[in-house]
Amino acid sequence: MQTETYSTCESQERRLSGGHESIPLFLLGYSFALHERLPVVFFWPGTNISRYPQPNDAILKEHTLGAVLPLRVSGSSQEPLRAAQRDLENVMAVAHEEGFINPSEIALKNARKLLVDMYNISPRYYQVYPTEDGDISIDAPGGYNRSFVALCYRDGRVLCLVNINGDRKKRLYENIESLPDSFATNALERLHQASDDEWLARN
Amino acid sequence: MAGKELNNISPSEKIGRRVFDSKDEKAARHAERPWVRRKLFKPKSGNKVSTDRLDHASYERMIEIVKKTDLSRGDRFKGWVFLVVGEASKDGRNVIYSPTHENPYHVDIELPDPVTDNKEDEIDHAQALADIAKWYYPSNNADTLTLDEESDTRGGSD
Repeated sequence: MQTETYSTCESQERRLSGGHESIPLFLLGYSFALHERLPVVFFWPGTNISRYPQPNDAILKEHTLGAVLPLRVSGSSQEPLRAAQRDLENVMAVAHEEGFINPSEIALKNARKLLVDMYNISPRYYQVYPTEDGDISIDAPGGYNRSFVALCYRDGRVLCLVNINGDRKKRLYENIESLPDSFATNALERLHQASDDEWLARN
Repeated sequence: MAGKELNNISPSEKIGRRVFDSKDEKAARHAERPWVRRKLFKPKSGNKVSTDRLDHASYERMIEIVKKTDLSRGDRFKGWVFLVVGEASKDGRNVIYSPTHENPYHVDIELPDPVTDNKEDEIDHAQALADIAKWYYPSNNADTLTLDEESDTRGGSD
């Protein structure tokens, strides 16, 4: 699974120059520190020191008017995936409650596979729900005028819709065999990137 | 407010789609991950999506109109998700001013005709509209989107 972590602020780097010229300066500083009873921290040449700790936890970012937060997850946290999978396993009950046509087994099977694949490409929250036609929708809202949708039809076909800032494309697949293909992968990655660019511009 | 100024629909004007389902409301008003469901923009029949113009009457007046025109569901009314006319009228869609006796602020978003025979296109348009919609907070009247073009869109019922 691809995971990425981001720090919420720029990391500061301090790099010691290697080489002989730094040794006398080091000894001078060390002597002074000992004399003044100052704490001494040793660095090896070439060490990068981050002022801020590297984040291990999920980082939330706010974007656009709609304040959509594509949740970046790291490590073993897969709560967004689990939440979406719970919703997926509940689609039959929801369809029944809403009076929709029941999603088919093939739609459910396709949605289960696609959800995991999509999450592996873009770890984030997904909205999973049945439609009145008996299809299962996996939606990735991405902020204002941005989204990716994978709609698992009742008959086994899959419709993918992508919208990146009004640039909209769609593709209908006869089955799930070729998914996720470059169209879907690129779309999910662009969705993330578009959100990141905007966040970076604002910050 | 009525009469002449209603005949012209500005591209920057806000139009709202009524919301009656608490799940739709909850999703659209989510503090961290607001999400407007595309089912709100699927035509019930034909190729028109009904909306209300939100910039010409008070919030209370609009609610009165909803309760009069949606008798079976008026009590369950939650509010609107809104979008801007200029954005709604892209991709071959038209925004048509279509007042009725009970609702002088009624507007239709008309989808391109072939859409009604094509499920994928209908879904695509519904999703496109959902992507540019958000929950309407009447106190946030300053929350309008700027548009590149300032041309008037003259609307009228056909």
